Amino acid sequence: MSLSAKDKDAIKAFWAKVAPKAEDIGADAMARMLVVYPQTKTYFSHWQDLSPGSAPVRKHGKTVMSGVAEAVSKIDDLTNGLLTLSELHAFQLRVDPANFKILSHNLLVVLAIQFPSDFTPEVHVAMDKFLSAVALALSEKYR
Amino acid sequence: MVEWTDFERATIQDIFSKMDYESVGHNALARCLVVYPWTQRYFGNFGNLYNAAAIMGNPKVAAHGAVVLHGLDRAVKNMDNIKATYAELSVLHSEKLHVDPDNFRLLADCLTIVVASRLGTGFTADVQAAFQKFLAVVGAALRKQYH
Repeated sequence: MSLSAKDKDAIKAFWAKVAPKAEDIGADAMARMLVVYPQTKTYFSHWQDLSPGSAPVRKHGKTVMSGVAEAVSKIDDLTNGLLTLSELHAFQLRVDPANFKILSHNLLVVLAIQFPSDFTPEVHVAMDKFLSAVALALSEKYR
Repeated sequence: MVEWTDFERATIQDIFSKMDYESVGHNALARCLVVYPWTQRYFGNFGNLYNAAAIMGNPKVAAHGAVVLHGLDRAVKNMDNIKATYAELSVLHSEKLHVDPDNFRLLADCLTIVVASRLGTGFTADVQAAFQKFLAVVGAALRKQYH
């Protein structure tokens, strides 16, 4: 299920619209993940406040989205482009890769809310494929 | 027995009371066929599903989307007895339609995304949690009679 040229064009075009709102989108997606999938809170026991809109949630949403932005810029070779991030997730954060799917789903929900007419089925499938490819690249160094 | 909070009950009733079943059903099913193309395996007699535009414009997809949404209505009206309510439909999906139950989750995800885009910021994290819990319970009930 690799990205076709058409997928990459759709992703880059859509990302141009997403980029200005990236921080808010990241914060919202993080918040939703923590509320809708409470088991994800286990990774953030070191935060004081896990509620939607809290400072650590907002900050982390921003961090995650800049990772996604980096992935867009390296869309032609995600495995190599995201090697450092993969090492981070594999050796330090040790996030169970199942959670990548969960965060991806919440990102898609936020995109659907923020871009009701731009987030067409074609853009949806391209973004879903992209986020799956990013998750795969992030899992590269796990074992 | 599934425990529903007052908030969850109210949220589900509210979402479905305001929903355009035909439109949401059409869009959710069409999106599912576009985003997860392997789901097209169940619709061999639907005619042209060749690309996104064909899927979105296909009248059989629209009609069937509405059927599925109206089917969800049974759960909305029987939230304390979803398992029993769907016993027959579960047998149908298993014995006659031979649908891989994993597909229930795929359609649920598309439905969540369509409802999110309709409700906008009203689709808060808590509302999303209630909606996804409801769809998960429906999916589990539809799975129940598989063997």
